[in-house]
Amino acid sequence: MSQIELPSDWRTCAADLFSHHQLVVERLASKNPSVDCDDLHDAFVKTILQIAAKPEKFNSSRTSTIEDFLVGASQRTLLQILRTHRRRKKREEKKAEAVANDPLAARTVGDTVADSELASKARSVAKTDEERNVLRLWELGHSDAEIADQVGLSEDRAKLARDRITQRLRRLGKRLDDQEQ
Amino acid sequence: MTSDQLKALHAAVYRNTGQDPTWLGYWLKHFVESEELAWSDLAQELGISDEKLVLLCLCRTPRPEHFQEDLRVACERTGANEEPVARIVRQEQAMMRWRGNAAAAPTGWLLAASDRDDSTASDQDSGIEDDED
Repeated sequence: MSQIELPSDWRTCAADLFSHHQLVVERLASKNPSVDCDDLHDAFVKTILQIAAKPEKFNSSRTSTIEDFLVGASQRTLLQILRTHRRRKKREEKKAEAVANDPLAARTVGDTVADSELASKARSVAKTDEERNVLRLWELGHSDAEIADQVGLSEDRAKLARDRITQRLRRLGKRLDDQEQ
Repeated sequence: MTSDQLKALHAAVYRNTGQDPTWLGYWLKHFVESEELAWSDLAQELGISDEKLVLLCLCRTPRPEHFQEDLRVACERTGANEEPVARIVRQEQAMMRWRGNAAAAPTGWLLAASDRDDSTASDQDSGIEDDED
């Protein structure tokens, strides 16, 4: 089988290959009906750019038409794009899981409401302005670093203040539980 | 292909060529963004249709040592006016150098930006001076 002739001028090769977009994108879409349109377009465009940049890396001798060649190459690019998406999604899920495991970030809405009730009682035991400020920001869901920044403390000191307050909250919560029982 | 699908395909060309200085689309995208233009405004400025602008984006950035020749090939392929394309490419290359992005860009493009002999009159009009030492 003879090798397909790619556009001869490397300077306009990608522009010439682009003229096959209609047939190639349609065939790509029919092969991948559930894939997002933008991904199909990206696959086609990335492919013609790659071919035009380094035509010697592509073996066009196995296909009979330039469209077949572009569909095959675009399909491979599409699989890479989808793999990248999957990896990114996994990374994001892992990140979300890590955030969820953070005791501060893992508070559900219900917990937050319950905490706020406890916090209203705990406010009476926050002994200093510093502790009251830390408690107020903690209730709003700020991290230790953000609390430190806003209150003007070192992060260690903010963490210490927050630990003291959360310990009091736990003790208070336990007392309330005991009272309910 | 519907007109919306075609627009999305054009956007894919702008997006992908805009990430790599190998392609004219890279410099045109920077120009469009810095001037806050729509792509159709740029097409008008270059005297071509939106479809031809997409093809222009897909052409290779002219080599510094063959700037005029490479640019002519791209403009003949797409029907774009050479003078504004040359001005935009040189301006954006000079801007990149000016911003201190030299490390991020291949030396060739920077040479093109600083090649005074090939500069068009509009380079001077652009108000951007080469910072050659």
